[in-house]
Amino acid sequence: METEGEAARRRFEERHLINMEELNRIKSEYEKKREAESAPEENVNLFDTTFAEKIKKIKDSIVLLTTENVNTQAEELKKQVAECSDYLNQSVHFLNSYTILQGQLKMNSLLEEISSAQSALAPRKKFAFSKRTVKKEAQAENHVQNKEITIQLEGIQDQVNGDFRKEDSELSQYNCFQLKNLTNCRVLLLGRLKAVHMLNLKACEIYIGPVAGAAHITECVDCKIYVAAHQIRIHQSLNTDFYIFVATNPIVESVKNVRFAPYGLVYSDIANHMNLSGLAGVNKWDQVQDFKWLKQEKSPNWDVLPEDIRIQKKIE
Amino acid sequence: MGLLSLLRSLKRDEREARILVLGLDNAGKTTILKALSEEDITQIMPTQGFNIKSLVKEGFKLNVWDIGGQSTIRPYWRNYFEHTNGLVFVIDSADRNRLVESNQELQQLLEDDKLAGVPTLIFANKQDLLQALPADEISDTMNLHLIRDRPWCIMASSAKTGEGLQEGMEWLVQTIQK
Repeated sequence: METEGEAARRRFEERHLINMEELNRIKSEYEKKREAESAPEENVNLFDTTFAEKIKKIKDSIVLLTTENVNTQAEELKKQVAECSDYLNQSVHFLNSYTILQGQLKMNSLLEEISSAQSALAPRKKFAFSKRTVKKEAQAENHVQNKEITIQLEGIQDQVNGDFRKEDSELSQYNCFQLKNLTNCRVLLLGRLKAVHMLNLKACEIYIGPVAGAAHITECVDCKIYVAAHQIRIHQSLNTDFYIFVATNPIVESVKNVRFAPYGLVYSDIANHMNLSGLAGVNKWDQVQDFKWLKQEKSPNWDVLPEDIRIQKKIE
Repeated sequence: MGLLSLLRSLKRDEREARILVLGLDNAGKTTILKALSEEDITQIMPTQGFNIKSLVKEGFKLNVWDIGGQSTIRPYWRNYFEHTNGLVFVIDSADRNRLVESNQELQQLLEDDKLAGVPTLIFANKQDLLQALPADEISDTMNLHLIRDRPWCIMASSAKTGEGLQEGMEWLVQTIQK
């Protein structure tokens, strides 16, 4: 029978062993992680070669575009560009900002090349009403099961290469609108809303009229977004230009390479709608607060869009 | 009654309560705070730190702390837990994409030792929006009926119209006083 003292010592030693094991485990995990990240040079070279290959493949395909089914072919190429962009985005943590910027510029110019090749071979569709914009059927189904929280919010979701347009009269039935999971779409919401949510948009052009409440924007990449709102909140977005009217300081969180310019959308009733939504005062478009930047100097994650490359959008 | 109990019953603290207002960003916490203080709600910007207001309700002084809800600053919520008498959790009822996230944050709060047993008022806010889920659906989805360790209440509200705010706070004050 061991004495109390011996028992205490034994327990102490056992605990010590367990702690040492735990410490060693943590240490080896850490070391494994370090090894995995330890050859940045290789990763950069690998990235450069892979990226250049992908771009060459797409450029070659552009040359081979034919008039037959040009739109489908172009869509396919744009998807490849989107994949290439994803590859770039995944690699940003070991690339320097010059490489990242060059990569983004190459992506943009590829998209332009595809578009001009496409319109040379077949004229582009003008904006038109689209039939599949509101998932009313899905909403009716889900209403029965009240535990189901994936009920569709009124909006436009899960679309690729679509053109959508809504006038004020339609929007007033929604008062809150959602744009979710869109790739390479153009959306015009020419009227008043009380709240707008944007989630997971890639390479889209979004033009929204005045929002009396908040515009909540998450995960937008390579987009151009025009919106007027009382509050604008931008999260986890990349390479996107925002043309905004905002009554209070816009905020960004976890963004990179986003640029701001004054609201550049013009349509016939816009002045009236802005007034009705209470957005007639000072525009604080460039007084952006970055939640991830605590220093006094301006955050490097956002910039003012230079005047000479701003694009006004006038809708008939 | 012993001397200490008597003194305790006369302490100023009993007539004061500390209320913490938490919730995801864009839930409407600051708008609720301003609306309760009867101040202008048209110039509210996303909260970078916190806002604090003292409200007097039925002879009770409420020190209300509204803490910013952006994910970057949620880790700081725990700095404000100590000595909280009442918790207000605000939910944007129209933001269905983030209802699960909202629920997760609420669960974490309810599991924290420093907030054990603290009466909790949940505002199902933004009821003025057409797509807002009603309070009972939110309550079902978040399984609020499983909360057993403290008094709680869910109230449909709209900070913009003022609906539900006074009622909710009255419940909270009465519950704290018990």
